[in-house]
Amino acid sequence: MTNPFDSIPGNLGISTSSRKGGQNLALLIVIVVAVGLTVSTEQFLSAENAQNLIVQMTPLLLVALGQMIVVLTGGLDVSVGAMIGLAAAIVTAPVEPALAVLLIMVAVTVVGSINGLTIALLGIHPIITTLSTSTVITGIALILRPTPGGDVPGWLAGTAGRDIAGIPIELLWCILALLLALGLLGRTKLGLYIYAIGGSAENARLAGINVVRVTVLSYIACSAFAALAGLFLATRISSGDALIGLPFTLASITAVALGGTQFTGGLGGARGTLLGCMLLAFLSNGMNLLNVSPFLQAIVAGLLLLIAVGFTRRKTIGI
Amino acid sequence: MANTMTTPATAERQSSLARLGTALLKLPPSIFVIVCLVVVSLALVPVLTKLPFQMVILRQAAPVGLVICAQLLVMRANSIDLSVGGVFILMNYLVTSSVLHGLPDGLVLVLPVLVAMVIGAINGFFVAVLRSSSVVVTLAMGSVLMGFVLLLSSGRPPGSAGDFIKWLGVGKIGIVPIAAIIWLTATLALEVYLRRSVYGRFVRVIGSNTNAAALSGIPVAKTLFTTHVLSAGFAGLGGVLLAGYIGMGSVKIGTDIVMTSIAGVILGGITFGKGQKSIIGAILAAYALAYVFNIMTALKFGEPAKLIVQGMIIFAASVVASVSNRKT
Repeated sequence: MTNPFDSIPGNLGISTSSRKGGQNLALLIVIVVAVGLTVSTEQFLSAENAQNLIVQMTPLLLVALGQMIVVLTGGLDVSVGAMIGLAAAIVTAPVEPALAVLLIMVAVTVVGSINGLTIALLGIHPIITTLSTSTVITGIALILRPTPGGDVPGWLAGTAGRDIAGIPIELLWCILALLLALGLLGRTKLGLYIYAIGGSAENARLAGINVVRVTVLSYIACSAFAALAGLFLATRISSGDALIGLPFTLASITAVALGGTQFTGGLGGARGTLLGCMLLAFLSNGMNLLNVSPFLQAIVAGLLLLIAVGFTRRKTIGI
Repeated sequence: MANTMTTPATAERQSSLARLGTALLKLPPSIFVIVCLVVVSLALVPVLTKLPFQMVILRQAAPVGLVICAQLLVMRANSIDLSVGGVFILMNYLVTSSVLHGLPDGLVLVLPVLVAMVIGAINGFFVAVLRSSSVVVTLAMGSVLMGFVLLLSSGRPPGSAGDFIKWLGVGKIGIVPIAAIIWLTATLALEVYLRRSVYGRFVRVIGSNTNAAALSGIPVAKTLFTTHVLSAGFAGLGGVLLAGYIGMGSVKIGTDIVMTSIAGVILGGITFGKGQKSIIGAILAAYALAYVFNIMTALKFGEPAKLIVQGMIIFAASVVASVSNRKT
């Protein structure tokens, strides 16, 4: 039976046959940009630049993978940037390392639960819930760490800024995070349920899926990935900064969109998000190599996001 | 016997209490916030309740009130505009840099607002014609605008605002601030227009059910496009007033405006499309938010505490709004 809304004038209702979304298009663009940069700059293919690229991309990949999980459920989390700052503030606070880890886990669970519960139980739009939690989290992070500083505990200090036989240790963070996200989405029931809710929350509920539980778990997973990014950033710059994560909110959304994951939910995946992050990293790296103003880079990133969402058709209109 | 006599009376009292409760839930949350604020300020900083200070709060509420109106308009039509922060920064740049130098006073006010409406038209094109998610589109637009202003000004704040814009921002007629007069006039005109015009009816229908509106032949895309243009115009006017109030260029303003505007809409009792409350709720919300900031400044709250309070207010108001919408 056809969808009754397909007959609405102006409703193109393009159906995407697989739940992979537009990931292949993202791969094509990444290749084009990489070839373009190889031709136009000499340093792009050098080993040193490849190391830089991986280091630059790591925090973005961590946040974006988490963001992708909630986007797949049809949600959005704009509190990831604040969560990064909170994790960085806690881990550099002068407390026992074990206590710091425990505190971060508690923070992740509390934030994810509040986000997920208000969205799934009360039906409040994700942007409103996560915007308000974002503000509160930033406030708390600023109380913990009013000015950038502090020390990263010893157990973390060796996990960034080193390389093993020329391969930066950051690559390990990327691979682990990617395997985690791929495993969660592809190998667990939770992953299947996340796609199901993104497709249609009502149908998922009728099929016996506990929508509230899955939504809460996906927001917790998102906060956890953001907290990982916070740990990584604090380790890389060897200090804590409560505001370090704020630019990553928009960047993570951009990476997810560029990677072909649909904001209506249910379509997309980790492979595309990796490609989206690579694309953003290539562009920022390439513009640095070509001496483009950092302000212009912000404009280009914004325009890219506009183009990426402008060409993904969807049935709903509005938010 | 005594029991049977009292039971109906108790039941009636209970149901009238319940009715009072439901009626209270239907009021915009901003009213309760204002009541709380007046009590708090009477107890802690009584000087805030004096008339001159109230006028100061009213003046500060004007730019915020206009941007709340802008947000309210798009949110009523089930959309959102997160680019208002970028619009504020652009307005500030336009009226404080040399771009519009030497033009007649009227044009210095009108041209920035027109630029804002062009930005609204671009947003509207993506949201209504290409059917992109308004959250993502306007977020990207905000980032583009911010980068654009930073690029133009090379990261340095531009000059200062012209006398006319400053007069709009801080001037008074009698004891009433001009900014407040502009704000209230524009808001009330918008409300009358939304109530009387066909367009206003369309916005309301789209807000309650977009699919039903499309099926009954309402030009959803066209209405949504117009709404984004109109909304950006209001945001632009707010941005010009704020630039006049600050008096000089700044590349930092506008970052919390997005947050404040959404807070205001929710405090006014409206969440995406739902909510039958009048625009009075939004006016009171702007006033309440300006009041809150004054009290927190008077009580020497730091930036983190202000952020926490602001976030909590939005959170609480959205929970209340969600619960009360469910009951009705």
